[in-house]
Amino acid sequence: MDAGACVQSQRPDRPSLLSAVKIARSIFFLFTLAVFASEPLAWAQSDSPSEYQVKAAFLYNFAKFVEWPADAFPDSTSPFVFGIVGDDPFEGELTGMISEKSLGGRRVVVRRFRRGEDLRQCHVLFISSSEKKNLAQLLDSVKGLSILTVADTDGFARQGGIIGLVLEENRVRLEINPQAAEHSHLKISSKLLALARIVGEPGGGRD
Amino acid sequence: MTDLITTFTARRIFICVVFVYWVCSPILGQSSKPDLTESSLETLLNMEVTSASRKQGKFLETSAAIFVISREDIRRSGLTSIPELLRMVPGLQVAHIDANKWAITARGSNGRFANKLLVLMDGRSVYTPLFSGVYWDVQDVLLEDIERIEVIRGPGASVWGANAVNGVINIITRVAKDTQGGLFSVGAGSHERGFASVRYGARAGSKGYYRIFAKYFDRGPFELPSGQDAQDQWHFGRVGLRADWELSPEDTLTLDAGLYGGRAGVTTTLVTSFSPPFEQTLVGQAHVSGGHVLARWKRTVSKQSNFALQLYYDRTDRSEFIQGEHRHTLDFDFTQQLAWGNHHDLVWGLGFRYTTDQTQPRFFAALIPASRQDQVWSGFVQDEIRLFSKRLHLTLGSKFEHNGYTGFEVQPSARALWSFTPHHAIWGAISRAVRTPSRADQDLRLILGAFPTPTGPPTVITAFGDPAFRSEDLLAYELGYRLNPDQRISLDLATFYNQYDDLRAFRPEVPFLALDPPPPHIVVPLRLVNGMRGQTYGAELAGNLILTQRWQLSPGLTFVRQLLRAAPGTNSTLSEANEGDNPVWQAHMRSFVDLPHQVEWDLTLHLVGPLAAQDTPRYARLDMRLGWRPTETLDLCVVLQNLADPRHQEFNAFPQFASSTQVRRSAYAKFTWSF
Repeated sequence: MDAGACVQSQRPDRPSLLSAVKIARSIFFLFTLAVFASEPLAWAQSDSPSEYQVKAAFLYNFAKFVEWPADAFPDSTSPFVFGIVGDDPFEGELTGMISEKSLGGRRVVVRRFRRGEDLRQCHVLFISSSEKKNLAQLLDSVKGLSILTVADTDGFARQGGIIGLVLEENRVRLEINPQAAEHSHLKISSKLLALARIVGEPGGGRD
Repeated sequence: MTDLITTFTARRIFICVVFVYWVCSPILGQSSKPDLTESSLETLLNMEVTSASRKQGKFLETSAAIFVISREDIRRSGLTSIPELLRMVPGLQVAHIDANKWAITARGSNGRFANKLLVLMDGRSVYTPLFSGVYWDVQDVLLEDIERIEVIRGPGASVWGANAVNGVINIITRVAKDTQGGLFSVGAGSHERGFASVRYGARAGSKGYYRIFAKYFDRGPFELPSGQDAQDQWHFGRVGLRADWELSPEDTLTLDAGLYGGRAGVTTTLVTSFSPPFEQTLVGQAHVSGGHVLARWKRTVSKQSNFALQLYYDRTDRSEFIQGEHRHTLDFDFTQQLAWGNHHDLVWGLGFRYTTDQTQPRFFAALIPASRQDQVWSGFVQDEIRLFSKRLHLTLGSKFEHNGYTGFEVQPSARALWSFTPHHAIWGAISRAVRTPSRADQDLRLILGAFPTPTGPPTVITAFGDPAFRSEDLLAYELGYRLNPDQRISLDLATFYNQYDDLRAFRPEVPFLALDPPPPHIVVPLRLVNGMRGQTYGAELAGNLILTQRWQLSPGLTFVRQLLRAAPGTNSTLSEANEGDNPVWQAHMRSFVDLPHQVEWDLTLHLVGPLAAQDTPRYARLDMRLGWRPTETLDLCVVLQNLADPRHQEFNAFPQFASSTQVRRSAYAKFTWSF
């Protein structure tokens, strides 16, 4: 590069312009080649999904990898209930994404709950970050019930929740508290456990 | 000849096909939205998400010309310093003066001592009251730790206060929780002779997180027009700490501290005596060092109300040919946010800043008095009103400030934004902002030139500050339009018309004979006065096009024109020269391509128009980065910079007290490992 620069300095204008055009042209060529070569099928896909679209997909997937005791459903026709307590961060998208699906032959229903409402009919409960301050109280109210509690507040699984969704480097990571699941009589598949960071409550022995 | 025509036609057809494919692909893309719920857990875990802060809602809701440099923008730019990163922002003018000095401004009036741009790092003002500008060489952090850089063009004075005249730059680093674990990066190349950084983050007790980092770089010299080394190489070391504690669900405490030191080479020609040869070319180094410590406590009182209390101390030490300065700054800041009713969002705040300096006089430049203490008291109030089911946002506010130079300053602003569909918004604003006098405006004595006269004593042209110097005044009108038809396309157009008054100009005064320092000489005084007015108008366009899942384009366009008129009695040649220190046109294009196997290929092109007032022709800057992330923890990249020409000059204004040197083609390679 430097040697070239020396020669060019004797005729300052044209050669540098020419080399610029040359460089631009070869870069353009490489560029087109690269764009075409990179899996043309991928072209038809859309932009990266939003944080809560992915979190919603996780919620639905959890239900496939967790086993509920038989008494969690009043009868064979009762639906599978996803609950959101607090402000809805999914902006209605959870309903749109999963309400026409079924899980184990059961209809999927998404319901919004207010704090203090009876959560017993719920199977998966997403606790919105707006309820951060009432977390202990909320977790207490579902104690012993077969409800898979999920939240994306900091340290949720450590504080007694079952699955925490943690955003790291723009990716969603899972934190699971198996003791909490046990207390709720839920069986989490080993596959889901293997993909998550296992955490425990302080003083719970495991961390 | 036939050959030529065939090649030509073939190329044309090829270009047409490519074009049609590009244009159609986003449309093709709309039909198939993948059902995420059917994705496997592994796929979901690997899926990169767009976080809430980048949501389009925010983009459409801001009634100001804002541009955000994201973490991804920083990583994929291949750039290594904060001033260089600002190049990607349409509406800013960024130029290297020499290897370690920059001229940076928004909307006109550029120079090393450009004084209408306010810069904040994590809430700490890095603007020096000495000349009301920014020492860009010392503004640095670990670039990997930057969450985003918000650049607001146009007056931001109603919230940020004086000197946010033409823009505000907010550099925001990541919270310690997001930078846990280790990071090690090292690289070397031709201009980047060597750099290394290391960061480590861990828990601080049961309620908090911290990180510490250290970085060092050694950058090579640029070139003089003659082809020689410009001796403007520089090297810097820096350490920093940040900790965040969540003391309770309502309270967070942040601690941020840093220390730096370095040497920056400079070649400059200055008047060193009043007898021949008068001027001397000096080659040497600026010695700079400094540090800061900042604490911030934030409390969420309720869903409707929160407040923040911030205190920082900052120290700057510089010693260079043109000046020497030690400065201590203490700053206190309180802000409260209150939502009342369904329609109002009120923010108000109080601030106090104390700054004290000790300057060293030089032969050709001195501040009189050499030491000065200043206090600035300020308050602001702003109400954002949402009407018509949040379609209309009105923002009314004002800053009130009392400073030691000019007394009270009131800087009101009114902004309105109307989103007539969820995808379009139009906004407008009228604001007043002032640039308060700097130390230099009032206390300067600076020798601009000295030459012999055929008979009699030599003549010395000297600029003098004026204790009566008032604030420079701006009344700004802005109008903008945003379009965000779907997630893949966004377009942001901002236009402005700025009316300046009381701008700084030079007024020649009656020459006098001075005996000291010897030999006797005639002083031709040029007084700094509020003697210029003028208009600046322009338009800025920023776009973002996600063409395919693997290819994104970010085009930009900047147009700015400045017309200044010096008042009768002032030296108009010298005063109005400033209007030609900006390129009228700039065009930017950034392209990001994700190739298979985690390979990234990024190109950036800037076309910058000539600087009419200077001997600076137009230039093109082309950068290329090739990156590879073989695993999630490794990142390797090769960066080629300034490919378009072997060398070019970007800025050459008087008086910058440094030789304008030429940017060279360069390359470097970098390795980053996170653990």
